[in-house]
Amino acid sequence: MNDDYLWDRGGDPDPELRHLENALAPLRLKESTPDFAELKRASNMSRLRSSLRPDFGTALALVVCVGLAVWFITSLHQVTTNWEAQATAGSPTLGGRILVRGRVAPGTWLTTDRMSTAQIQSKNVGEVQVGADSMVSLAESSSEQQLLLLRYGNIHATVFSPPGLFVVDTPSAKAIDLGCEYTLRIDRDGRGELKVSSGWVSLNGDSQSLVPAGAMARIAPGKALSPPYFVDATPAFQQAAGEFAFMSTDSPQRGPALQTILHDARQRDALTLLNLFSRAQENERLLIFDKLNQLVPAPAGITRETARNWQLNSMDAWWPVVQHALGLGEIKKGKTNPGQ
Amino acid sequence: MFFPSFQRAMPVSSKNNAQQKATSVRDLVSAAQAGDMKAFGELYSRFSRMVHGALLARVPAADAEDLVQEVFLSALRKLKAIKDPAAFGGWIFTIARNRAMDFYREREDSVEVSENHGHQQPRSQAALVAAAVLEVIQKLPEAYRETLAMRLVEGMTGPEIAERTGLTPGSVRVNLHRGMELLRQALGKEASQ
Repeated sequence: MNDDYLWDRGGDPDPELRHLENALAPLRLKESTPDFAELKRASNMSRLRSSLRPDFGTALALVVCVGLAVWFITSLHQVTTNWEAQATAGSPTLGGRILVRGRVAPGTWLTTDRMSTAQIQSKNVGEVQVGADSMVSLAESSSEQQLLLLRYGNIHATVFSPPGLFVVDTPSAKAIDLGCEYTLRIDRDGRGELKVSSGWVSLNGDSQSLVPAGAMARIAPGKALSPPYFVDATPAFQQAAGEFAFMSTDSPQRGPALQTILHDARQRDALTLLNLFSRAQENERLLIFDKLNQLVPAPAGITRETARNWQLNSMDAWWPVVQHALGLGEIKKGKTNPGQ
Repeated sequence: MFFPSFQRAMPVSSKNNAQQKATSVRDLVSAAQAGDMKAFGELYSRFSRMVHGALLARVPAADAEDLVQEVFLSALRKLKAIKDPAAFGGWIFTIARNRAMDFYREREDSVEVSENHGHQQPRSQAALVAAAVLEVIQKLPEAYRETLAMRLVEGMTGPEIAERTGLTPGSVRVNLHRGMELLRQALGKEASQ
C-alpha cells in the first residue's frame, strides 16, 4: 500500500485505494450549498408549530377554538394547509424515511433518487409531480402563500389555487404561479429551465421573465434569466434567445446571437424581443426596436429614442399591444412589471 | 445561493497558511454569528464533506445527505454559543456525531412513514457495490471508520481531515493506516465468504 497516496494522494496512485475511491464515489456528498436563510425560516416555523403543545386541560378548549378558526379561515380563503405526499415510483424518502404515503410537514425534505418519483398534492392548491433525482420541501403553507423549495431536480406543477399563491423557490430563481401548469427543472449547479403548458408563470431572478403557455425560459446560476421564448420557434432562435442574456457584453458570440434572433423572429416571437430590451446594450436595443416595430408596430409614444434611452418600465405601453397581437391569454395577477 | 466548490488539494505545510485558514474560519464564524448567511454558506462549503463523512460512518447513506443539512441547521441555531470561532470544525464534528446517535434513537421512538417496510428500491450495480463497501467500513472501530469515510468517500486528504476535524495530523495518519489495514482484512473476509 502506498502510504503517501493514502495520506495526501502523493506519489503514485495506489491501485487498491483508487479502486475503493471509485467504488465509493456514488456516496460522495453532492456539491451545492442550501439556502440556509430559507431553511432556517422553514425550520423555525416547523419548530414553532411543534412547540405549541398545551397540556390536556387547555388542549380541549384550544382544539375547539383553533378548529373553528381554521374552518372559518379556510372557508374564507378556500386554501388547505394539508399537503400529502405519495411515492409514484421506487422509494423516495420524506424526512429521511422511505415514503409510501404521508403528510408533508413544513421544513421536511422529500427526496427522490434516479429510480424514484413522488407526488405531493393539496386539495385546494394543486398537484406537484416530483421527478427523479429531486429534492423539495414545503417551506410555508398558509392562506398567504404556499411556498415550495426545489433544491434540485424537476417538478411538474398543476395549480388551481388563486394566482400568486403558489410559489416555487430554487437556488437561482423563484417561479410564481399565475394560473397555470408548468415544468420546472433546476440542476445542482443552479442551471435550469421553466416550460409553461398553460396560463402564465412569473419567473423572478435578477430580472423577471413572464412566461406564457407554449413558452419557456432558461435559468443560469447567479439568478440570471433568459427572456421567454416559444418552443415552436426555430431551433436557432431558441438557442440564441436562451443564451443571449447570459453572454457578457464583450462576448464575440453576442452579435451573431442577436443577428440570429432578429433574422428568425416571427410575429409570435415579439414577446421575446420585448423582453430583450432590459438585457441589451444601446446599439442592440435599436436593432431590437426596428425588428419588433416591424412585427408589432409600437404604440404612440414609443420610438427609437425610447429604445436608445431605455429605462425600467419605458416599454410598458408596448406590452398589451404585443399581448393582443399574439393572442396571449390574460395575465391573472398584475403585481408584475411586464415592461422590464 | 451557491458557492465555489471546496478545493481538495489544500497545502497545510506552512504555518502562515494554517494561521490564515484558522483566521479565515474565525472570520467566517464571526460574520455568520452576525447574521451573514453567505459566510455560513462558505462554512458549509468547507465543512460539509467532513460532516457527511462523519455521518456516513454511522447512518445509512440514503439518510446522510438530509442529516448534513440538519447538522448545519442545528449549528446555525447554536452558532452564538461558540466560544472559540476557530474551533468550528471540531464543534460541528461533535454535532454530527450526536446527530447520528439521535438518528437511531428517533428511529426507535417513531413510526415509519413507509407503509411497506420491506419495500426496496431498485439500485444500480455501482450503488450496490458502494453500499456494500460502506457497510464494511461502518463495522470498523469508530475512529477508523470516520477517517476512512472522509478519505475514501469524500476524497479529503489526511491533512484536510486533521484541519477540519481538529484532530492531530498524527492521529489521523494512524487512523487511516490502521483503518485501511482493517478494511482490507474485512473486505478479504467478505470476499472469501
